[in-house]
Amino acid sequence: MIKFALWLITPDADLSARWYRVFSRECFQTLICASVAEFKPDADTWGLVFVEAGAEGLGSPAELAAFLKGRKHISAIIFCPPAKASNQLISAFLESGADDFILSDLDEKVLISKTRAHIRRLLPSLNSARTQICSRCGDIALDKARRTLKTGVGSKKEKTIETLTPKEFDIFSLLLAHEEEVVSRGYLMEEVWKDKSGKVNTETIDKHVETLRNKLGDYGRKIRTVYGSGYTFKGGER
Amino acid sequence: MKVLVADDDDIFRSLVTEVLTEGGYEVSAHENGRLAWEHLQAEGADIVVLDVNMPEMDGFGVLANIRGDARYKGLPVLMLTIRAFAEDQVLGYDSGADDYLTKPFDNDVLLARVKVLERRILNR
Repeated sequence: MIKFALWLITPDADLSARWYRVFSRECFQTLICASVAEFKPDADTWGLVFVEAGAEGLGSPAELAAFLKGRKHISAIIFCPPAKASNQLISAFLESGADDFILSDLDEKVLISKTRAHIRRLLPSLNSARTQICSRCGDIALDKARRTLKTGVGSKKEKTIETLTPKEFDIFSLLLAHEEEVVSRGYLMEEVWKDKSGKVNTETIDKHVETLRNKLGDYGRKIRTVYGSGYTFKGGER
Repeated sequence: MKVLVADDDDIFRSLVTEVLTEGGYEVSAHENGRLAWEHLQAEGADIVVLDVNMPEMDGFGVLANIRGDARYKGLPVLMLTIRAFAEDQVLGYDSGADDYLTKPFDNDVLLARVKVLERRILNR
């Protein structure tokens, strides 16, 4: 089971307590380490690590590079007090593998927004690794590995859709993964037909989507045509 | 690596272009958001650097177009603006920006932050 977490590595107990409260309010699972030596994530844990520049074991950009080596699922955000920050220090840490550099007096609302932006960036990889996609309101569950699709999840109308062709399944996977976004016909061609996309015309895609709509019943009506662009899946509410 | 820049201020646009070009990037700079958005659709880009206050289409308008179009899924966007209030930064991140840097900026920090965005593309 792949997990996601935030870590705070700082000897500053006041700061870690303050940021812990901020992150906990947002329901982010947060772990506190007083030093780099205490940071021992599981191999299947992905996440963001906030590390204070100058913490024991992380005194320099070179130590950061060593710290990140072999931890490709970990994204590092370095921070320090404003009095210790300089443009040279910020550039050096960013060039050594940090994904961000922030000041420890950063406004809490900005801290949360920044953190959400980092999580948003990491989630596609995490979702891809998980292979399971759910609609935003949770009533559709699609498993790319098992190639199963359930609608009406958690209700009396729950059922498994077994009639989709592989192409229809792939098209719906993309529409569901991009719920509420416009997915162009060109993008569908490239992702579903891949190296054979040059041999596919837009009418072929439209035909597949039409059949897909019919097979999905009420859920099919949530696949809307965007004139001149492509399609969008509007899951809405339960 | 192609970087699309939009800024209506001639001096900042030239400076950003110079910094990123010297950093090894192929830069396409535009004086408003509409021109930048049209360029993106016609020519594409790997990274986008947007000012916020611009005529015709502002930076948030371009950002909304990018985040609303699956063709540009994962396209990194850095907002580069004079708007330094916390509320502005929150709006930038919550609208889908990957990074937010305020003017005036340090040339090396700008280049380092663009390199971070480049690294994320290469590590996907």
